[in-house]
Amino acid sequence: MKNSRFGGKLVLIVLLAVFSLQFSTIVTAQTPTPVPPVPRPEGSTEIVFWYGLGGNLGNVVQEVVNQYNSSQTTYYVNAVFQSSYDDTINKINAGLASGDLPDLAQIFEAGTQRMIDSGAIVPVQQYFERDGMLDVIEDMEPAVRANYEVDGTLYSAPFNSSTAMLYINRAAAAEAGINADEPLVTYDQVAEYARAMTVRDASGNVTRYGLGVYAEGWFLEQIHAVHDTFIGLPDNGRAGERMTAYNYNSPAGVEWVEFLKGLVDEGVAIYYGPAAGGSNASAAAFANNEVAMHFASIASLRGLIASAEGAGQGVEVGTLYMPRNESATGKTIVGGASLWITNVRGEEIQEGAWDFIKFALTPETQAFWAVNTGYYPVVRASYDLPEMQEGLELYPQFQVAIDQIRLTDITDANTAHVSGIFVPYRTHYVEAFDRYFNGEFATAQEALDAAVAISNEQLEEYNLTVGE
Amino acid sequence: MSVQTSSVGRSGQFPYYSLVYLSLVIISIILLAPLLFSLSLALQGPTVAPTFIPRDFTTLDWGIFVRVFEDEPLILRWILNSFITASGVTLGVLITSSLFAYVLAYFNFPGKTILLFIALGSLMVPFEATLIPNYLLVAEWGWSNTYLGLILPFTASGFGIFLMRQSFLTLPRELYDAAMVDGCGRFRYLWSILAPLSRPALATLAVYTFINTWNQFYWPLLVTNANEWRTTQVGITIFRNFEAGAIFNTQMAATLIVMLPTLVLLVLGQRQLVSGLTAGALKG
Repeated sequence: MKNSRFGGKLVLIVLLAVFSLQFSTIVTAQTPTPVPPVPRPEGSTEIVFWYGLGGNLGNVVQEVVNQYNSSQTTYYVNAVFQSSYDDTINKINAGLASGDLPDLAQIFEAGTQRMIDSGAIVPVQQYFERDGMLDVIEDMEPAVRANYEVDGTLYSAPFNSSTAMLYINRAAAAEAGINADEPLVTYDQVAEYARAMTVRDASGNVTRYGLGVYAEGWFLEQIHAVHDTFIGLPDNGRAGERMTAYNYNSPAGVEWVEFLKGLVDEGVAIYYGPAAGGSNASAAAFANNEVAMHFASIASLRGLIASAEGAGQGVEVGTLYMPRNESATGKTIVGGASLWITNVRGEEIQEGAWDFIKFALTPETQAFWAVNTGYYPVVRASYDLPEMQEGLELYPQFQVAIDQIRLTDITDANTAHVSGIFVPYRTHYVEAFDRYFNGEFATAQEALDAAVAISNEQLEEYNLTVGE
Repeated sequence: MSVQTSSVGRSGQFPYYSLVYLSLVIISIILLAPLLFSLSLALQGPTVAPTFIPRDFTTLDWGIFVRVFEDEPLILRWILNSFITASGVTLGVLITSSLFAYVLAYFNFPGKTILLFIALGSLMVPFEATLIPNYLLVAEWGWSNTYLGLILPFTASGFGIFLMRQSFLTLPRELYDAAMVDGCGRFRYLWSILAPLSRPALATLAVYTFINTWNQFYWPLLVTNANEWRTTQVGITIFRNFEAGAIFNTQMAATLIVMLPTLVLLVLGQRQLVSGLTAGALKG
């Protein structure tokens, strides 16, 4: 008995060993993209840079940092990955008391108000002014610049920016006689498209839905921008006064949620659940030709194209604007992250952080970033570079995204709101959306009213803690 | 084993055994499903649309496991960090819990009950409440990026003290008296008699503490600021794609790699663990 048990264990160990040996000996055609940091030169000043982008995007961040470190020897940027955008800002909050802060940090726009309130930052505007580089600010993509400018001051340097799109399977659209070359679409049109592209088998079961739906706060912000409605009052918190109330139980917000629910009830759209899980399911279904339209960031374009090819279901990826009411006059906002300089370690260090930002905002770096990731270049001069033009030719879907954020003039309503409870508000909205879709609320108005009430309570609390 | 000895005629029991084994197979498949799914996701290449069972078994991307190491050579260091941290905390908890519980179970002095309640009270304070004060202290002492900072705040545990006290109390007091009469010292009694007899409780506490520490995320994220000081749970988030669509292959491959050492340990230690848990169960 004892022997046989020992034998079983031995077999298991041998199996594991063989298994791991197999991992290490098989070489695949795909080229790996390891990006080890370059060594630090003697006598250079270390600039600690926290960032929150993992995966392939994180590799490109490290690559940009490497390019900077190899380009000069005065400063050395030490890029430290902090797990996610959310964890990065949480760590900064914890570090405010201990002084354990980075010199430079990549923060998502949801953290703008909290970074300003931290009192530990230097607005980058003053460096642009001092070095006579206001032309760089002028050259920034207007929608991107507006996002990080609060009350006329550019607080942080935009780095990676994207916007939301409605992805459409062009093959399915062609079959259904839909013109997918006209990107501006109304709610009514999208509803028609969804009906036309829904496919049922002989017994009436749906084999492809028109649209994949999931709960996501970012889209709610997009919809408010498109309909020129403030999601936060007053003025999205951008006109010198702190935001005191959320407004997403507005007619625009209610119409959006009802539009999606209507399509699901009609059987031409399918609801995949809240946030990340719902988004993953919807993206997978889109690539597998199980839904014909899908909402996502333009940054997911490459991933979707590659996945659609891999799935081999004949999906051709196209892009449309976020849908709108016929009367809408706005445009979508950009999301993403920007670079913040902290003031904890003195002027010399801040100079180093600023030096890296200057490098990150050159047309060449931004073109490199955009071409390798799928974000917008934040400076328009990048579009003149050959590699950027090649990229646009390769991905014509990307031009639609550029046109979308240039559709109208910039106003406070079509720029991201600034709030101390950005992340919690999204959670409240997503929860209410999910409960409405599960039948726990009778109307979208009721669901959104409830979510706004909780959000406002929390916003008031936040505003009290920062003493206003 | 017990099934075999209790059954008399094995051949007559065929349908019974096949049923047992069938249900065991089904249960193991259910239990292994998350692991198999991770493996399946890892091997399907960079796609947002993986399937539970790969579409095409000829194009499986086994090289992904190599690329994880090429992409982040530090992953071995992260595993080592996790191991040292989890082992350190486990050892610390076993020592402090046994000592404190020994005092509580065997010695009488004024304020003993209060001490017990203080230990139990520490269970009522959630980790989140002490997180920032702990962090500030550790940062103040310059213990960021050290094993000390990762280990020390967790080396005493109210749960461990309570568990060990209850276990010590189940042993007859006469054992202690007999040992004392034979000239056994107090430490020797703890080390040579109490600890071996309490192996089930010690093993339970060790496994529980080790796994809890291995799975920590927020504390290691806070007190480490350099890539080489990360633990596995913090480190592997670098493989997570977000914003640009959820592509899971490297993330899942990395997750499987960091799981491997604990699995091997479990295979090797299983017998000790099982015998530890049942030892003395009948002798009581």
